[in-house]
Amino acid sequence: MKRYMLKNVIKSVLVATAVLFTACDKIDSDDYLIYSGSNGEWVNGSSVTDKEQRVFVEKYTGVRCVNCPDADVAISQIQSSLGHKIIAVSIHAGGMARPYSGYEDFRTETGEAWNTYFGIQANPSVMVNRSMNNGTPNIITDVAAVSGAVNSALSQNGNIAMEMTSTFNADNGNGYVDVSLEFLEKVADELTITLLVTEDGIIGKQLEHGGVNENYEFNHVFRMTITDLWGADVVADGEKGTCRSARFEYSLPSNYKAEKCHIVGFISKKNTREIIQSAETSLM
Amino acid sequence: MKKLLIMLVASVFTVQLQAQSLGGGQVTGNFQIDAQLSRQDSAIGAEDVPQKLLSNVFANLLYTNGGFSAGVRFESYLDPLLGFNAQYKGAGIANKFMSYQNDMFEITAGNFYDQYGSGLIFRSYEDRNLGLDNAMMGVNVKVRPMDGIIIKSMVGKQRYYWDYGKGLVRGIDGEFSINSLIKRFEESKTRVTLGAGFISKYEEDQTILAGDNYKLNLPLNVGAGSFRMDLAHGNWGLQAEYAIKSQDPNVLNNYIYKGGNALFVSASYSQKGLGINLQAKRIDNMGFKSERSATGEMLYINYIPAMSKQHTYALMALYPAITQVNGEMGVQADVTYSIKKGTLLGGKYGTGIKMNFSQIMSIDKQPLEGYTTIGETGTDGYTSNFFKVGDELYYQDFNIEISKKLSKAAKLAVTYAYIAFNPIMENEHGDIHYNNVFVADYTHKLNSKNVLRGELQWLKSNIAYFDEDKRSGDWLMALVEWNFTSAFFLSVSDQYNYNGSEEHYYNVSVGYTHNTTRLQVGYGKQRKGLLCIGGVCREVPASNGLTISLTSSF
Repeated sequence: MKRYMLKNVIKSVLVATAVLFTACDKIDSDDYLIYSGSNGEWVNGSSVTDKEQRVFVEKYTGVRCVNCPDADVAISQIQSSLGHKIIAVSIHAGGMARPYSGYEDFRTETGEAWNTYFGIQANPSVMVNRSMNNGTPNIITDVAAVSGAVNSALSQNGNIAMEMTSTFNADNGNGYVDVSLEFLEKVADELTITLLVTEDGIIGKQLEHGGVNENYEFNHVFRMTITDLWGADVVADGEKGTCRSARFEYSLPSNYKAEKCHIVGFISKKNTREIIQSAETSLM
Repeated sequence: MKKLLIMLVASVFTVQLQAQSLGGGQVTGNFQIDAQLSRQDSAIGAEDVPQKLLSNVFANLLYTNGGFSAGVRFESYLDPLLGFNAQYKGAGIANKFMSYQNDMFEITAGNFYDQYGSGLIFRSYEDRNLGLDNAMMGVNVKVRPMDGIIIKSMVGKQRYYWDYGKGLVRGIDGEFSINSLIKRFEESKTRVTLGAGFISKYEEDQTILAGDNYKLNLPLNVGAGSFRMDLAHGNWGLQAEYAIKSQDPNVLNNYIYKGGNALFVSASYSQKGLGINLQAKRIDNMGFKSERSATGEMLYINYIPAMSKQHTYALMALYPAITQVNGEMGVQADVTYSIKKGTLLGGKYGTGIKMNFSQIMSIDKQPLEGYTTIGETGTDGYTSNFFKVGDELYYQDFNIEISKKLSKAAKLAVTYAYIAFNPIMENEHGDIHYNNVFVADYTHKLNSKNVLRGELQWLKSNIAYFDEDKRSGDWLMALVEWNFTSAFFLSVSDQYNYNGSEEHYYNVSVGYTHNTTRLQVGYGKQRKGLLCIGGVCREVPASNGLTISLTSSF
């Protein structure tokens, strides 16, 4: 009986192990690399695991804007409840973003260009997915209305899944982002991808209701774009099931703290610039 | 602050539950609350904590009824303590399982922890001090078809903070006691156990570009297998395990296709008053994670056992050995010897001697034919002679501790350690740190309820202080600890970085224990550094403030 049982046990283990061993792929050395195109060039990719719909929330702000910290709090609260579905970016632009003497200037040429293009008149102003209403940008100046706009945007599916991985060489400040897209349904619009860098945890001077706070922590601060400010074309047929990927290279200025930076990417409709999907990943 | 302390102390006295009977079963559990208040201190690099109060909370609840058991673990990181990954932020049920076992089998559904052999191919475990929890979520089955055989099989995904990793992990392992299975060896003094395991990881394809115009053709299924042996004969013991891993291009090895392998051998001898343990290991490309692009401490499928002493004295633990999963060769010898009482060296009460030596080197790595660099992405990486030791010293530690009871009430232990530490273990460049560390540890029992203990520690380093490494320079440390009324303790200590930042890292700590409940409150400065357990490390940032710890079980 004992011997019979032992035989069966050994047989079962061998079968199970043999099954598992087949679950082990071997790639020939001649096939390690597959042609995939040059920098910024779109090539056929693979299915994207992360199919979550996310919302891009950009806040136009300034260090001399007394109400802007309220918007930070409102967006932070939305992030707390919705987590990584929300991708926040703070763009310092306009008159209220003039730096205090001796403090860093967070303004950028790109931020000013967007500020002008979208017709930002007051701070804080928030745009959710750069949505439009009859050709006019939906600009929210009442921070209490941001939450509703975010929920509304989340209910609209862009039909594209997006993933990014970032690789960064701290020794020379060069990095690249690998972007993967999967069309979950047919998308007829021409699309662009915009990639940018944000930085968290910057301590600086900010006007608040109680006066000037010299130790204000600025998060999601827009630093630079990796692509053109209006993005790079997404070369894809837009058919359901199409998977495309591309790499975008960049150099990070040494005054940005790489360990506190994130890469943010979003897919826009080329004609309206409305955003249909976005993603974020740590820079390193 | 005052309110918080009152609440915590009150909870000590309200959580005095006993194990509860429920439906014929038993309910047990435990709590752990760690809270921290830290303020900005630019002198030591402690950053401002805008939330003021940080806390990590764990609560386990376990129900057992005969062979059935079920449990949940609540965790809260609101917000996580300094040094813990921000992705832990949140609260909820982090671990849940139910399990049934009888003489023949055991099945667990939900979260589980397990290990195959020494862990070279699979170890799922939690170490909350490191902020590490790679619990599996799936099914784990253990079968004992007859005496001397244990077969395990599992499938699941690994915990990734509040989510699960993308990779699917499958495994099978068998352990066979030869003495139980073969009749003529049943009574043998030589005990032999053999084992073998296999793990397979599946992960979907992704785009990893390599150089211009090319991406990697990734293996979606990666396998790792191991064979092991445990031999015991009288006072002698020998354990060995050899593991191999198939092609596994990942971020840890810079996406090379070379297979991995690992060998771990441990031999021991013990008799009354003497214990000897010799260990050796060789690791080559054995970083094995369930996500090929994952960095950080999470999602490791396997565990490489450490090959150096886990020091408990603060200054000796300043420069810990960090496991190098991409390649290391190490040896360790550990000897404990007790000199009999009544001899010249043993004196009236005897003398204890502990000696330990460990050395960890790089492995031999040579560029592939036609290449000048090692480990180029999308290639086999390098070649390595299994028996050749690499040129680079990673870590060396020789330490000796002599402990002696001086009288019925007094005990003294003196320890010396020589520790060489190569910053490359932390992926940093720089000269090797050579440290001489001396420790005197004196304990005096004043009476049956009062014990006084003091430590003096001195670290002398060859590396002058530099600001990027707050550990550099020389150190002195003194500690006095008073245990009184069997329930309270008070501890005061100071670490002084002389010939360095000239900073004092003082700490005051008081504690109270009542049955299974323990409350500890500390105030002081924490130096930026590494906390390592078993070669796995977590960076601990500088802090200056209050820490509160409360644990209780029922």
